[in-house]
Amino acid sequence: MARVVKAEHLSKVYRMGQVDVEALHDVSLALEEGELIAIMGPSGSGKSTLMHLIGCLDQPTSGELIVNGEKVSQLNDRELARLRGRAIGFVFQTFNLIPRVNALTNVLMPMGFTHLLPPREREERARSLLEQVGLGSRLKHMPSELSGGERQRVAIARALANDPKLILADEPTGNLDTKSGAQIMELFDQLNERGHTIVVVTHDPNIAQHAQRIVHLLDGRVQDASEVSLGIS
Amino acid sequence: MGFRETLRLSWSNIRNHKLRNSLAVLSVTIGIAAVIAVITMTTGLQSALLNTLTRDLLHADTISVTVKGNEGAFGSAQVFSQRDVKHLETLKGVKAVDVIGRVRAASLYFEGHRLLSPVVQVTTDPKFLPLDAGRPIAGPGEIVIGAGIAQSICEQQEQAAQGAKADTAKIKESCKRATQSKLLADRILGQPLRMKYINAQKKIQQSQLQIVGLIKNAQFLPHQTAYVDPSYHSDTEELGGQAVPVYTALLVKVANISKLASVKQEIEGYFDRFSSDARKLLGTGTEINVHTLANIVDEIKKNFGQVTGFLGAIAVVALLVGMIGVMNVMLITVKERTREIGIMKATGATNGNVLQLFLTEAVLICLIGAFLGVLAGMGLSVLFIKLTMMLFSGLQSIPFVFVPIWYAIAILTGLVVGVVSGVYPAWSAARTNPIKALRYE
Ligand SMILES: Nc1ncnc2c1ncn2[C@@H]1O[C@H](COP(=O)(O)OP(=O)(O)O)[C@@H](O)[C@H]1O
Ligand SMILES: [Mg+2]
Repeated sequence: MARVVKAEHLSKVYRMGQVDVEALHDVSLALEEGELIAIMGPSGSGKSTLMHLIGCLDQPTSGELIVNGEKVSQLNDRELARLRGRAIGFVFQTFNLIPRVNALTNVLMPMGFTHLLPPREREERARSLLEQVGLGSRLKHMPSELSGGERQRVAIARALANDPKLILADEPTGNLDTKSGAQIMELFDQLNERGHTIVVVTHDPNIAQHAQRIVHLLDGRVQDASEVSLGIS
Repeated sequence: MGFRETLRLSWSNIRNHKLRNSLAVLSVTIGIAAVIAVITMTTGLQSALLNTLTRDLLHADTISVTVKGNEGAFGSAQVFSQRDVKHLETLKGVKAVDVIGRVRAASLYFEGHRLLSPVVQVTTDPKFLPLDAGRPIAGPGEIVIGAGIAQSICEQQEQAAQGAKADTAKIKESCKRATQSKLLADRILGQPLRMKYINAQKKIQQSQLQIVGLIKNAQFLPHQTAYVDPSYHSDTEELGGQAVPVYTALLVKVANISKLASVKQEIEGYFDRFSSDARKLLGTGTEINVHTLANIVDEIKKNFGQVTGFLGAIAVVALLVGMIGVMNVMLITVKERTREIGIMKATGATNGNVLQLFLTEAVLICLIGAFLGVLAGMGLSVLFIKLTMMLFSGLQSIPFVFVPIWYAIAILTGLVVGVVSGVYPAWSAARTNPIKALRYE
């Protein structure tokens, strides 16, 4: 199986005025194609930071990161944008839809950035993606007219717009009730079965159970499995 | 990002903040409208003024050819022949050539009294003299007279009415004042005048004439001149063994006022040569004056150019303020949509995509503003023209000068203003760090 992500000795230091905050410390991690893994850890442990690095939104302070076969440190802004657009789909805790445009246009937007499909076929794909996530009847609804669960499903359809290998979901169920959260995880399971590699950040052990593997973070470090089982959870 | 998606996203934002963006559009509208209005109005006024000068008052499109020292009321030395006229008519840029001649030894009598000092002339250009009242002469037996002659007639009428105890100074004063008003016309039009002159047979002849028109009472028009039908003209000179009619002056009309100088040069060249009849008759000693109003026309254009420049500068300042308005709105928009920028970058937008999006928005605002500005500017001009014509009834019409290229330039200016005002906000949007943008509340 091909490796989608290979991270070695990643660390990330944020400079806050005079103080350095080390959000990640010597994190090594590999993701095989078709994996669904969960990242768990208390608030502030560096989960989002790790997601941002893997998602090529930020560069590590040190260490090496290979995403979809490309050395991230060697890519320029343009190539990073291209990698984000084609290989990665983001799902956020707060949905992050564009509030001014309807569900369909939100899903269309990433296709406009990558030009993988000719313009005429994009709308058809956006429709079918929204149908896949069960929103075939909500195409023209504005985000404000949708429930939290529905918004997150629009966000998942948007993440799938360019059919990326890797889906990064940062606490996707954090703002949802249990039932909606379960629906979202069901969707992730389906996507994983269809071959997408998925990383889900969560606090919820029930959610984490969907994963084939759980990575625990604490204070910016990956904990060993032994440490975790000894731990409180 | 495709153009359509960019446009859709930009438009959705513009629509979403109607008030703010309407104000930005308005600020551009005002700037463009000001520029359009200034150009349209000053050009219209200039054209009206030049038209008035050209057609009615100064005949700016006419080059007069006279003998030097002989210009007063076009003098009495008659040296220009029909052959000269024919030649000038062949010059490039010449529309028509007319003559002014003098009726030989003509004197005018009103009710038996001789009028002092009038000069009786003929012209083949019926529109040469603008009239205050009445109509141009239509044939023999008719005469149009200058304000000075009209005043003399008025004085004689008053003298006759008041008899011996008349106060001459008072009458002079009131008749002079009468020439400024329409009252005089009623008394003088239709009155008979008798003309004594020498005809083609060199015999003294008398002719009964009716006054049909009053020459416009203006400073620069001859007051003591009257015009009659060209058939009264009889002066000839021996040229090539033949007696040919000769005239005191030529009036050369140019087709295009901007060609005055070049036509003038050609005329001068012609009269320098002995092939012209006038030069033959005059010999080398006497100069022939070729006079144009090119200087005056240039002066007027220069002055209008200065006024346009000055008003235009104010209008451009308005446009600049509009530009700053759009820039301000765009900066607010970019700030507000920081998170959106983060989302776009997370989903694959390049810096270029983000730049394009915000630039499109600024350009859209400015294009709408420019379009409305053109309409508003045209509206303002029409209003201004109406107002001016109401205030100054003397100007018969100020044209609405419609030049499509200005409107194209105005729209293009809108585009440029959009780019200039949008480029900094859009650039700062493009540079936004995606992580910071996603964390932005
Ligand atoms: N942009 C940033 N600037 C400064 N500090 C940051 C920034 N992002 C994250 N941090 C800090 O890094 C640490 C890890 O944050 P984060 O990755 O968001 O944790 P988590 O997602 O696990 O809650 C925290 O201490 C946070 O305050
Ligand atoms: Mg987090």
